[in-house]
Parts: sequence; structure tokens; C-alpha cells
Amino acid sequence: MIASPVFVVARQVMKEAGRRRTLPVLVLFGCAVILSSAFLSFFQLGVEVKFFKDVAITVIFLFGTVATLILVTTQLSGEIESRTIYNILSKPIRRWELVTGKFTGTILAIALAVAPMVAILVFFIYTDRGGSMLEAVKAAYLLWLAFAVLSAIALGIASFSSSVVTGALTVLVLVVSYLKAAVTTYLALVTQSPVVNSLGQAMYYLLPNFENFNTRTAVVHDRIVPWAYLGRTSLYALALAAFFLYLGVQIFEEREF
Amino acid sequence: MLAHAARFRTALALAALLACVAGTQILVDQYRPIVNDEADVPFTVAAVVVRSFLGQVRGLLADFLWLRVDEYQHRRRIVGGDLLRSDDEALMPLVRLITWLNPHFVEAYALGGQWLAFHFARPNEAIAFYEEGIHNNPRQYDLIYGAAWVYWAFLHQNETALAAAQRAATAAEDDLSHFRALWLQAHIYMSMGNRAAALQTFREVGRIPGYERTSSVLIQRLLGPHGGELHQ
Repeated sequence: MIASPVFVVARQVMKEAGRRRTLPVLVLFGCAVILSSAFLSFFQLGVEVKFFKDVAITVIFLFGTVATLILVTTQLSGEIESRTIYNILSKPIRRWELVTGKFTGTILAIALAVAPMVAILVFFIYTDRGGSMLEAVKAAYLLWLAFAVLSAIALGIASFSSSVVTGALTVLVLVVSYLKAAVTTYLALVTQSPVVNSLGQAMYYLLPNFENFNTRTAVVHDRIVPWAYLGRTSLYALALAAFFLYLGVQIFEEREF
Repeated sequence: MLAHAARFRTALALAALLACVAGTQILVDQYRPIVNDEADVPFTVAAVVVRSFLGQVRGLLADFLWLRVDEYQHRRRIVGGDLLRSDDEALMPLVRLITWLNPHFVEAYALGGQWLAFHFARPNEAIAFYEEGIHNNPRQYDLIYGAAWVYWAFLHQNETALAAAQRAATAAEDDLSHFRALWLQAHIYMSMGNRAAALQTFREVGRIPGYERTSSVLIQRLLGPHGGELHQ
């Protein structure tokens, strides 16, 4: 049976992720932070539970983001810099298959990386911390969607830049996605100009919005995240990932090696 | 010519995908307030900037700041026979920052309101802080009860205090909280000169399981020779 080139590349990315040791070390560190937060004690009852969930979700987000950045920046840009790309492209594989394979491998590796941290969160919720395990899993799924979008953005950027620039620009996109709330609020306050406000609105709708994947408040305060929200956010992530991957593939196709 | 057509096709596909991004964002926005009601909180520009810069880390930072606040309030140092006021003054900015980062941090609102009223003698600011907390967390007993206390004991606005105490009684989730709200309610009635309503409220205390004896003691004190004590 001949495997699809996309899956061959994806499998290779996952193997590489394990071989490099960076990802396993990050996962171990993340798990250690979450575990240690589970044993912190406070003066007020009830604060521990909130604190634990807050720490766990933020650690998953932070470590997942770092892992995604490390994985993606070493993929496409790394292949170009180390010139192994010539070797790969000499094989019967199309460029879109290579980019898609890298993306698939990255998001699968990230899913495996965050799984132990999510398992610890769910375990402590089950044993003595309280709250809904399902809501914690939903929050983890949304974070994974955020990592998938981040991977697509990084791959899109990697198609035309070096690994350092890819890392820096991806972080910039992430920061801008959070800052745009401040910018739109500021614009609405300081100007009455409909043109400027329309620009602010356009920025809000067109730039990636990582806040959509943040359901920390719901999990910490034991609220239910509707399934419809998960569905809509999944569609949003799909649209964003498709946009950046398509852009990346188009630029990559144009490059000469 | 073919290259131009291909470029046009690519641009068209990218525009279509971007339209999908905007469209799905609209779909997500319809559900966003259910998932994260912080979207409806009227933050100041400074708060929005701080929150935006910190992104998803803000909740965690609020928790870590609370650790510091917790330490300040429980380990208050005494210098020269009096409490070290610099610790107290360091506490309020931290509390303010916590509520910016997490407007559902009820403990921070409760503590901030209490300290503004009792330690800094700023009841009006305490009420503003409590009311902000109540706006962001409408059913939180601690905040409603704290506000009722400040309205009654510091601002002497008995009508408003009574309304708040009654809301606190309905928001109470345990018997002790229910008792405390009724106790405050009765004392507000007495401040208004309505002993009958105070008596009725103390009788209501007796309906809380385990508070029958407390109720009769309170009624005795109200009706007996020492009833005047309750006005103080």
C-alpha cells in the first residue's frame, strides 16, 4: 500500500518532534508546573480550585504556543536553511503536499504534547478539585484549535522567510491579535471618523482573533461552553488555517530551489 | 496571460477565504458573551490595554497577584505599636489590577471594598468599587452584603442599605450567610426606628435550621431591658 505523501511527511514531522527532545522536555516541564500548582494552599477556601484551573489552562496555552513555534519554525524554514529541501523536492511530492503534511504532522504532535497536561487537569478535577471534566476537555480542544491556527500562520510565513523571522512574525501576529481589542477601543474613544472606525472594525474581523479560543473564564467559574460555540469556533479556525496555508502554498510554489 | 489568470484566481480564493474568516467571526461573536461574559464588562481604556498586552496570561497573573494580596492582609506587620500602613497602601493597587485582569475575581472586589471603607475611611469609593463588582458579578453575596454594610454603617443611607441587605439574603448560599444578611437587615430596621420589622426579621432568623436559639436570644435582647444595645 502506498501512503499518501501528506501522511508520510506528517509522520516524519512527528518522529522529528520526538527525536529533537525539545518537545518532550517542554511537556515534562509543563506537567511539573501544573502538578506543583495542584498542591499550593491558600488562606481562603475555593481559591485553590480556581487557581489550579487557571494555572493548568494558562500553562497548556503557554507551553503549547512555545511548542508550536519551535516545531513549525524548524520545519519548512529549517529545511530551506539546511538545504534538505532540495532532497525532499526531488522526490515525487508536490509542494502543497509538503506544506499540508508539515501542518498535519505539527498539529498531531501538538495534540500528543498537550494531552498529558490535559490529563492532569482532568484528573485533579475528577479527584478533588471540582468542576466539569467535559468543560475542561472542551477548553483544551479550543486551545488545540488555537495551536493549529498558529501553526498555519507560521507555515504561511515560513514559506517566504527564515526560521528566526518566522518565529518573530508569528509571535507578532499573536500579540497583535490580542492588542487589536485595545486599538479598536482606543479608536472608538478618540475619533468619531466613520472611516477610522470602519478600519478598526475591518481589523477586528479580518485579523486572527485568538481570544475566540479562550474559554478559561467558563472553565474556572464552572460555566457551560455551548456545543454550538465549539462548532462555530472550529469553522473559524478552519477558515483561518485554510487562508494561511493557501497563502503559504501559493508563495512556496512560486519559489525557486 | 496564463500567469495573470492564475494570480487573479489566487487573489480571488484568498479574498473568499478572508470573507469566510470574517463571516465565521460574526458567528462566533453571537456566542461569545455566553462563553466569556468579560466581553460585556465596561473596562476603562487603561484596563483594556493591560488586558490586551497580557492576553491569555492575565487570569494567571491575577491569581499570582492575589497570592501577594493574601499575604499582605493576613500577615499585617506591626511597627511602633501600630499596623504598618505601607502594606495597606500597597494592597489597593494590586486589588485594582486583579479586578482589571479578572472582573470575576469576587474575593478581590470584596476585600477592596472592605479595605476602602474600614481601613481607608473612603466609604464612597468603597461603594463605587462594590457596585462595579456587583455589576460584573450580579449574584455574589459577599459583594451585596459588603455594600449593604457600608451604605448602613458609613453612609447612613438606610433605604439603600435595606434593599441591598434584602438582596444579600436572597443571594446567600449557606445558612451562616443567610443569618448574617438577616441580622444586618434587622439592625437597619432598628436604625430606621422600625422595631416591629426588626422583630419580624429576627423571627425569620429562627426559621434557619440551627438558628432557633440565636433567634430567641436576639428577640429577648430586642424586647428586654437591654434592647437599646442593639441600636448602637
